Amino acid sequence: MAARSVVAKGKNVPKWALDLTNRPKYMPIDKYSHHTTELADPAGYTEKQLADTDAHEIDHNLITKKSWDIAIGPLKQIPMTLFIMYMAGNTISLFPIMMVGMMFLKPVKALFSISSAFATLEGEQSFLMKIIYLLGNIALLVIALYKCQSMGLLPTSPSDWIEFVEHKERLEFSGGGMALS
Amino acid sequence: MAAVYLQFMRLILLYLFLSILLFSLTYCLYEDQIGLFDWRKSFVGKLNYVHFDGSAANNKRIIVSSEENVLAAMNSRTGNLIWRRVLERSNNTIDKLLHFSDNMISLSGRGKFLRCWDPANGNIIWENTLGIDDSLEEKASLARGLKSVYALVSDKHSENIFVIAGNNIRAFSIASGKEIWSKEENRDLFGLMFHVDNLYTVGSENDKIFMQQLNIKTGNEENSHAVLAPWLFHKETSCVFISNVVVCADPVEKIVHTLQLRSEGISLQSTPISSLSSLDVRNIDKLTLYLPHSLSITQSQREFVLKLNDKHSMLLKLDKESSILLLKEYNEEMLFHTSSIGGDVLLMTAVLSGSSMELKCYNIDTMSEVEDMRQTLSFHEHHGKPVNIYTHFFLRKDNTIGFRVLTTFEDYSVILSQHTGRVFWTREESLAAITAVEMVELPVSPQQANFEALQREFGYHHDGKVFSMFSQRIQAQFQQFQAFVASLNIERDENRGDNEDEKNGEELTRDQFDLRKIIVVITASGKLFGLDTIDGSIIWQRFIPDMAAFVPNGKSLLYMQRSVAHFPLAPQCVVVGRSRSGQGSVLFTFNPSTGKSIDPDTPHGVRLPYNILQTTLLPYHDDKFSKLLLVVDTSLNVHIFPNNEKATSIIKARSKSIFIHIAGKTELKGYVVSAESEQLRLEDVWKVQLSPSEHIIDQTVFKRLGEHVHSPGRVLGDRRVLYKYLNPNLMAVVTRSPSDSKPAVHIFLIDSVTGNIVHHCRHRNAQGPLQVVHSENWIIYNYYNTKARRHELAVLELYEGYQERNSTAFSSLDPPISPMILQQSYIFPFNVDSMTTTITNAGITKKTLLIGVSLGYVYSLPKMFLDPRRNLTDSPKLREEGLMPYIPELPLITTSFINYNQTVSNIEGIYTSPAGLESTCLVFTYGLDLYFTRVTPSRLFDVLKEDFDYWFISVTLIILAMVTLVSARLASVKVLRQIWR
Repeated sequence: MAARSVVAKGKNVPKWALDLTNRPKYMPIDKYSHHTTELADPAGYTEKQLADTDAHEIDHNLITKKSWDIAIGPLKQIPMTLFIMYMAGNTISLFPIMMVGMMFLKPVKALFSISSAFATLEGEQSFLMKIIYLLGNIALLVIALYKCQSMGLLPTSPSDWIEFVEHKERLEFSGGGMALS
Repeated sequence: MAAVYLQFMRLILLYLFLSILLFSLTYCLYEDQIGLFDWRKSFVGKLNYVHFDGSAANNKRIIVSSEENVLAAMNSRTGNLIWRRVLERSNNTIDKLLHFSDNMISLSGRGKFLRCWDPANGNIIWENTLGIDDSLEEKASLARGLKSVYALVSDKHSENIFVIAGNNIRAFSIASGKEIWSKEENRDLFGLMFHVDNLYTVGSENDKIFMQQLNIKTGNEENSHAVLAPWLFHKETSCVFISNVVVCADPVEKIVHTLQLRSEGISLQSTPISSLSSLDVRNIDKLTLYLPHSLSITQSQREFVLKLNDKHSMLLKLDKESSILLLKEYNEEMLFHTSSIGGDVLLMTAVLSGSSMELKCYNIDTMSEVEDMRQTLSFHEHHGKPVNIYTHFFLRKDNTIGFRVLTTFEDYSVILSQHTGRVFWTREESLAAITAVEMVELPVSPQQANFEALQREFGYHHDGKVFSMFSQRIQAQFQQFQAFVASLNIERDENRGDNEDEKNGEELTRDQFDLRKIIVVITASGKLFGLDTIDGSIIWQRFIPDMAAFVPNGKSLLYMQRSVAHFPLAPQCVVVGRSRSGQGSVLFTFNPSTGKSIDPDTPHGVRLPYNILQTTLLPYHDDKFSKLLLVVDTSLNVHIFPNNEKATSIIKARSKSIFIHIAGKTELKGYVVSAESEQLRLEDVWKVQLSPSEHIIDQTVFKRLGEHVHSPGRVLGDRRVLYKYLNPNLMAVVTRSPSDSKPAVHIFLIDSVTGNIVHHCRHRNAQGPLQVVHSENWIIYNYYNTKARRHELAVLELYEGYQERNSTAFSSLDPPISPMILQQSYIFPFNVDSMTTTITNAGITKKTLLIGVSLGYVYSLPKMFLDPRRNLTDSPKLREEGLMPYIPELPLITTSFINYNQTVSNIEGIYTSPAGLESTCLVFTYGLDLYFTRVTPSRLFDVLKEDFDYWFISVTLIILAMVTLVSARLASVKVLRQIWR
């Protein structure tokens, strides 16, 4: 589709012209236009739009099965997550932190895109599926939180808030010292 | 065996752990940082002997000794110290200084040490200790001028030196320092004289005065007689020794007596003053006799001065028959000094008048004035009156006599001037005896005028409302911008006009991080200084002749009443001291940036008619933002400064919540301010009586007022909180046992509001002097363990427990809780002279102890080493807390001496002050020397490092930004092309 500017050699053509067709180089521009109109359709080509002839066999059981798979997905991850958690240990270093981050990221992402996930869930039990999907993600989140807690990352104890404690008001004032005379 | 090996390995591991820890803690200087933000000034103290060393080339050396027990040589051209030797630290001064051509002999320590020095470099040639009892005191009250410790060298027999001390008399060889003979008398000696070939001593036994003639070679007695002279035991009598004659002036009878030993007995001659002086005898108030001779003048000079009162003195001479001749009488305030040049002895007289003195020079034999030697020297008003003059005569190139005069003043300052009247140099020796210190922020420049608003935002007491803070910030910065524009205009105007006033070229304004401050210093002489922390130069000085330190502790009281924050009101400091002239006290309120009195009517302070028992600065301020100072007099009346209606109403409103305690020798009393009558008074509340056979109260130590405690609790390894016991009224009372009982030290922690003894502990076999640091919830003190013979540091920490009782307010009047008390002690390798802790703006930075040791170093020891929670066993939880296992020895890290080789002799105190930067603390160490530096206990965590590569980072950023722009453009072109293809 390269736009080639061609300097015409003939007298009747303008000095330059933009040619947007796939004209072979050897063919002069004034002759080429005739050829294009005469080009025949390839074999088997028809102008007419054909109707879709695929047979759509709606298998409700399959949909339900697939939907259940999606809904139970988060719950299935729990044992794996627990194992990773156990392996990661409670020390605060780069890898455990990354793992905890991933553990958080997954359910949070899932929860944010919950509407699109719900859209794929179909069938009579879709309501149940939705609830199970939601609960599964929440369970993952809770596990991640528990991991944070056991790693000491959650500000839950008073020691985490001690820097923000207001100063005590002094109700009496006292002073003095050794007698000076 | 294996167990031992294991133990050993553990120890090694422990030390390894420690050394790693310490490595991260050390903050030392690089070589190029020396003197960058620290400085030291060296002093000598109040001079008592001055001698121009004529033997030195160009008369360059002045040998001085001071009341601080210091011997030094000064350069007479510059006033700098050539060398300085600080002798034993005690209350004693150098008793006698003698000087010969090539060596110098000092007698010090109440006759204990006799030392011979090389005047050129201060090296010691020999030393002899006289083995004299420490308890040698002036037993009987004696006349002034009689010395129980004295040394003498004969003019003729100058190979030996003779010393008396107590009842001993000894002779030493000057060349070797060997004792030649010694003699012990059964009477107290207080005079040593020389005449012809004999040595004479004066001593007393019971009421009798003995005079004794000794053989110079053997010390054998050749002649001795006694006489009754009761006036010699009066403190008012003044005596001098001239050759073998004792001359005494008796102010009661108004008679001058002379005592001379002759073979047949002691001849006593009495000359009434009325026969010598034209002054009415009734005008005589205090008779003082003194010899005006320099150290180079020998015993053969028989002139002396009799001072009748401040304005009247007589120059007298003792003739051969020991009768007194009047040489000249003066009706002015006079100073005299004689000095020799060639064979002549010249007398320099100075007539004092206002802020100048007129010098005249006489030949002492003929009493004729020397030509062309008159000179008038004027001096600043802030030096006070001249006290002494010391003259040095020398031959100029044209063979005329020139002279140099060293003048010492009331404020201990020393000025050297030449015969032309030119002042060579001035030394402020009063800075060697500091009695109170305060560091004051510099005033803000117009650009920073609204800095205060910013500080309120970041400072400690903001109200926490985000929007109000934001609007304040915007306002402040807008005002700053306005001020900046205004200052630009002013600068333009200034550039147009002639810049005449160049002296005020550099205005003293605050720097970016408030690292530059004024050190306000009160000295023992009553002189006040404002020192610049940049280089220690004197910004202002003011002399209050009447002000002296309090007697019991030798300190003055200095308080900051109003900071610079209350622009346009000037900052205000107040100093309280004893009145030197007798009863009463002195209170001086001044502006710490200029040293000027706040009240222009009282430029030298206010004299209070009562004696002060105690003072307290309250945290409450009057309508002019000046904090209230309560002054308690000896009859327990309370006075308020500043005394206005608002202040009185504040005190009256809070009277029942202001408590003052006063500690006597063995009892502590607590009082409350009562406003029931018109005059505020103290009312008894509590009393703690200690047994006088066991306790002498040494000191009471409060927490520093205005100290911020950042965190009210301590986080443990298991994330629990141990709440600190932060009782603002808690004080530590230190007592020691009386000297006749077994050594012991007691620490009482007492609530000063209720008198409740929170804790008491006793250290047996411990001895002071104790230095106590009381801060936050801990107390650290040092003592000397007499049994183990070592210095120890002990720490006490107080905790409320795992629950906080009341998190909003603290009242001592609530039912008292008994806090958890943790206690430990450690071995410290040095004798501690002074100890303090760092203080920072918000208290976030870790605390570090600054320990001034006797060697003159200031050692910084992080508080974490002195943590009573350090355990013998190690556990992960403790390690999580950052606790090291307990080791009794404190580490000695040589890089933690913050003053590297700039030692401070005789450290009296260390003063710390927060800088504007949270990480930085300013440290001012004072003693005989002054040393200033800054420390960063947690390192400079709030400032980019000096070697931060601004260039590299900004260039990288710019390049990155440009590359991003260019590549974005290129990318868009490429995308367009691709679309077209």
